[in-house]
Amino acid sequence: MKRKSVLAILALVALLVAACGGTPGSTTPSGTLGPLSGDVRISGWSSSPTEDALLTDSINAFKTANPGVNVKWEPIAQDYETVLKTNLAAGTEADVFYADIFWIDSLMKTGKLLALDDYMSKTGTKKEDFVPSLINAFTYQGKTYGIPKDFNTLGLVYNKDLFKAAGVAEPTNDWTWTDLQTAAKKLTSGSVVGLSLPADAARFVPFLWQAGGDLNNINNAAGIAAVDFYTGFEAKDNVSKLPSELGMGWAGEAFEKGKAAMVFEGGWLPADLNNNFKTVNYGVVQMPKGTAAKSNLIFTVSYSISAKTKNPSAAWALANYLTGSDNQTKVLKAGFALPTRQALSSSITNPNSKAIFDGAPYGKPFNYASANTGKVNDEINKALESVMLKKSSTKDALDKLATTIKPLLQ
Amino acid sequence: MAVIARGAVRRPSRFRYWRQWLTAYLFIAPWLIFPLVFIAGAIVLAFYFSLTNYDLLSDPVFVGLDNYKKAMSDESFLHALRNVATYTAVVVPVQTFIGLVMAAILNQKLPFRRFFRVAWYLPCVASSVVTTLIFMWLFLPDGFINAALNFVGINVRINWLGDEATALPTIMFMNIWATAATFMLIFLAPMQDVPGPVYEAADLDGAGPIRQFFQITIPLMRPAIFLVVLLGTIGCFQLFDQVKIATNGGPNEATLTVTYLLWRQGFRDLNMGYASALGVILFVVIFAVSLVQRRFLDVRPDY
Repeated sequence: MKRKSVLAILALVALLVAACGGTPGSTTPSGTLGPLSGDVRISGWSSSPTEDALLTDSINAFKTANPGVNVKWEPIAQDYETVLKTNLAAGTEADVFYADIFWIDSLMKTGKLLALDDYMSKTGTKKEDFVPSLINAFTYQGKTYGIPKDFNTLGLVYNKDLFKAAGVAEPTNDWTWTDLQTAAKKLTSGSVVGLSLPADAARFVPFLWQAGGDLNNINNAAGIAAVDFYTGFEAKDNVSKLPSELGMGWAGEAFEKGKAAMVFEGGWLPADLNNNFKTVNYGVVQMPKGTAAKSNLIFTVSYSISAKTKNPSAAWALANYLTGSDNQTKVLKAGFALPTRQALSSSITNPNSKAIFDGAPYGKPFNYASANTGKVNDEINKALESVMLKKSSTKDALDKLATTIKPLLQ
Repeated sequence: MAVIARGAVRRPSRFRYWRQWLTAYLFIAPWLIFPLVFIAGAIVLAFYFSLTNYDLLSDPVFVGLDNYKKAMSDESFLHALRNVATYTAVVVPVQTFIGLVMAAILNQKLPFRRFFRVAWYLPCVASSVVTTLIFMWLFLPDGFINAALNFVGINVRINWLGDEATALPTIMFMNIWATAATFMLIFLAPMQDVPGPVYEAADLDGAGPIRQFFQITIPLMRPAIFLVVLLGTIGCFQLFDQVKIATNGGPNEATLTVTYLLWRQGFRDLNMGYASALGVILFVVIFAVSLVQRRFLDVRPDY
């Protein structure tokens, strides 16, 4: 009992230090975190038993190095965001948890997360060590609220056998939009489509940027060109089909079952192919260059710490360990996710992973409308679907879209 | 001695009365507290939240009737309301009629009657998630339904759940298949209560089985029909699981329902205030429709 109250006081002191640390002029405490003890709960989702085992293994390694800390892994099986936010509302969240770039804004803005900068300086963890576009996505008003644990971008995933059968040269990192169109036409035959593009903002938005467009002026010439290009595969050339039209749950499934020769997906598709569809002979290259620029979308997840944690030092030590070089190298070697530390880029040897990794420098994070990204996506999806299914012209759909998303983009 | 005697003749004291009262309530407490907190309490809270903006993370902000005004001009909501109205208008009469016919058939002295009772009731026992998944496979573009149609010479390749025109009818079909048997069960009991002499008299008057069904069975079963129509309507207005699993409201919002929109607003986008307002509106709509139905259907049968 006594030890707990001492810990609570220590935690309070630490919080106070953390709160003062941001003001200019105050000296940032240096050195280590000191002896660590107590309980730390960590929660996240688990996408596969293998990934789960990998994390449990890392946690055990942390425990061995810090015998005083009792770490408990509490995975959330489904609807992670909803469950986490409900827990946050009830004050029962774990000390350390995954936070997706897609919705972390709402947590950073409402003060639910602990600013990590003071702890980072204590352990000598530098922001510069991480890929800038990733760490910046977890920064709000100059403070860091999460350390990226891994990331993904989109790549062009293609079926080598279907390319060979159609006599089409395999794609390269220098492909242009025209190359994509030509190949999609040649690859479409019988029940196989050249490409499967979903009516999904998470696939379309990089094309918008590649055409030089932006969401704030989605109905300008570049926006129309991007939508015409993206939807044209289906609505005009008939060389793409929505996954649902192919009877598939998502584009990756259409690719796995050999119904589509090309799809745009992230590293999750190769991971699934390697595990469950070992016979599919695939390759990954970077997204094609658009009419204006190369662009991509960055998906990333952080380890963040609850603002209400009673054990911030130990929580930080755990998050720091899991995002450290050693652990990220281990995860990379297991073939799971791409490292977020710049120094590790040279250890990526697999060309497919390299293609996904190389999307980061010119990509933009998947939170382009801050906390409203989900709602903006809904509207974009509706517009794309109506054009693809020929219910509406590009111009009409985009004019309508521009009005509906305007208040959401403020 | 005297003390005891005096106590024995005294009427139960106030204390005794309250003690009995307390004991009684303590006994029913588990059943009372649970609905009070989790049903009545939740309903009251939902009414309150419907007047606020609440995202779970920050405190609710009172906004008056803004959420209701927003709903009235929300195209998705109005579309969902239309979808649900269409869905109810088709599903309720069809499933009620099929349920009645099934009950009437099983009420006959048929061979293997028990087998049919069980077989027809089975869809209701299976979880709706499972039946929906099975139907999704059957209705795939390369699924069983299209193959069967091709086999009988209708050469089509319809993407049942992926096409705007067929998605909602497909879900209607799913639901009728899954729920008609529940209503059959509700019909079966009162059908057996219809007095035999009434049919005998009709027989003597020369009415055939079909005429008997329409002119005796149906009128005499009005209370049961009212119950089934009411339950069916409420169920239809709350259509959720099939949509969530099979179509996610798509394609192009063709299968968007009010409860799915409510779920999406509340639990995906965390607009708890707006979602609560949608819930309240749905409650009012169902309540009003039920009152109208009661006016027309809830008539005691007159033997």
